[in-house]
Amino acid sequence: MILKSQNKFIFLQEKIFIILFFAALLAAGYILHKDYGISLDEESTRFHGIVSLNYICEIFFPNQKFEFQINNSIPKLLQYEFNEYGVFFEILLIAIIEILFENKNFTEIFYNRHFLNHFLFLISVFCFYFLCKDIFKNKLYSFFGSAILYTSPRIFAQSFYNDKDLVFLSFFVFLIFFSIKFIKKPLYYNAFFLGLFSAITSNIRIIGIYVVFLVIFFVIIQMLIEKKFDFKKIKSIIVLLFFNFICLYIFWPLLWEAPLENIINSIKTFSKYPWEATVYYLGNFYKPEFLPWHYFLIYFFATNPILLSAIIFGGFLQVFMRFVKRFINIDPNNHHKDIWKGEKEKIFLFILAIIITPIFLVYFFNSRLFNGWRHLYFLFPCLILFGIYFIDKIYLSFFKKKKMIFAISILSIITINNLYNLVRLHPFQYIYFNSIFEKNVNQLFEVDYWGVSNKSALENIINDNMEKNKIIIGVASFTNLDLSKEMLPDNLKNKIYISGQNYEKADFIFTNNIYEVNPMFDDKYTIPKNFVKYKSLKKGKILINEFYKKK
Amino acid sequence: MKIFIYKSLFIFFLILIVFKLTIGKLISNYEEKFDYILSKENIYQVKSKLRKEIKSGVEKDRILSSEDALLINKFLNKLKTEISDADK
Repeated sequence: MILKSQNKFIFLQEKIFIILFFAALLAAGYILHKDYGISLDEESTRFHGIVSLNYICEIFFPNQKFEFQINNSIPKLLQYEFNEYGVFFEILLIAIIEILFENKNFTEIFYNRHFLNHFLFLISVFCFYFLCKDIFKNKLYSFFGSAILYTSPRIFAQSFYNDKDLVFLSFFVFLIFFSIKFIKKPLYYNAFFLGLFSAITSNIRIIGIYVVFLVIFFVIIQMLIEKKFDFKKIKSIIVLLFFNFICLYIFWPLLWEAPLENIINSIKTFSKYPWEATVYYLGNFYKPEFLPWHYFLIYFFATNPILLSAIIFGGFLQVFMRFVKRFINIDPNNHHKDIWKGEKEKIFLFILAIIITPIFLVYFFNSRLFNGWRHLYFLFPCLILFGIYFIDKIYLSFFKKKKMIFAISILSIITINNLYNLVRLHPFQYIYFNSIFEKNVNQLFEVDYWGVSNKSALENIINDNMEKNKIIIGVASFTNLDLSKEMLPDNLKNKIYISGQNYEKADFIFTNNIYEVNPMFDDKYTIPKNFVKYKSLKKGKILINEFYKKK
Repeated sequence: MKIFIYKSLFIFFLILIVFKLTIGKLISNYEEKFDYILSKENIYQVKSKLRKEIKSGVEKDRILSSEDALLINKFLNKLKTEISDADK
């Protein structure tokens, strides 16, 4: 009886701690969300949502005109160039911010979107905590796992403004959580949630659809290992597939008229996204389809702490090698000699499959990667799981007597290093590169490819030239300064005029060294000789952007 | 059944990987070469090479050898005659 009430007390304590921690992080997110500028893709992503929402409103409320329909010139969904984008979360954001709260101000709309994006990310971090707890049965590992996910500099910064990859990552965490629950217990309840989150995740990025098939594969293999045909499990799989496709159909207006045709079109488009700009990588310009094979690997290694990469690699190698060993030693007559032994091994094999499948598909279909490894960010939580698994294995093998000190110190070093970089680089954490690469980043990689720092740059140039009524700024890189200008307060916004590549008129020229063409062979971004360097925005050894002034 | 699935999957992935590393690699190499030939960068390099050659030709005392000059002269004259005779 005493033990039971003690357990209840500990559980309550944990619950209160989690709620307080969540509230604190939410408050931090609220304080910080206006520090980040607008990214290049945000406006267009919002517009994808508007086009679909307009389509929905025309069907369900044909006699009513909403504010967003009056304020925007909206093309028809079926004729819209980018209609293959999933819009579940976009519609949700527009519905909350622009319809429910009737926000009309451009700046406020995007700041609120940043906050809601971050809010979603926070929920996923907490879900990741429970996912780790479910796998490792250890609160410290769960705490550090979620802390590493939350404090990773690039992930943290992008959780505000990256409404594609980070939203996908967040829903992917929910998806993995329910996948593991379903693999462990294939009940209708878990099938419903897995189907729901698989549909939402696949809607955001169609590649998410592979997870549900992997889950089904693992459940079937489990049945084959047990040599027991379980009709209940088969029924659960049917329920799962039913919910998955029904939810996907409901959440994706493009599928309403021609589901199969449009889903195939979407898969085709995203397996080789038609991105025609060049990518600057290791000092050369490449077309995305001809990037070297190591693009993802080097980018991942360069933009994560070295220690984290090392433990992830260790965990990956350990799980992979064990799988190979088990695969070679399979004995059809002995069900103990199979591709996994025990629940934990099965889960880690599932996570290995989750990681390997999209990477394999990227290489096989020569999918276009650009802007670093952001298209594969969704694998990051699974990679962290591998890292913790590695630490756990080493601790169990070598340091068992020294309690948890070894594991805690390694995970603490990574978290503290992340926290240090979060503070050091604020609000430009998205430029983070580890100490091996930081010295040469500008010679090797693209830095602020989405122009998020443009807003700060514009504020700085206005503050330095307060006496001027009008400041004309030319743009010598592939970035949208007009969009960043819109994020400024009215009194500052009115002072700026963006002249694009018309440098003759300009008082200043702005560049963040991002080019969609090779500047060696195209002079549209060449800064005229009558301009001299005026001001640079640097963090650590990394140059983010700079201004040139007319002599 | 289980062993059959394992073996099929293993062979399937092996075939995909072998295909990607052999034929796939070859195709992608040729794609890259074609793309480079038609690219702005290549056209720029061809243009600058042409300019460089013309410049060095201008700086030389003679561009053509006397035999080549005679041959081209004869050829051009022949062409000229044929062109002027065309409307007769």
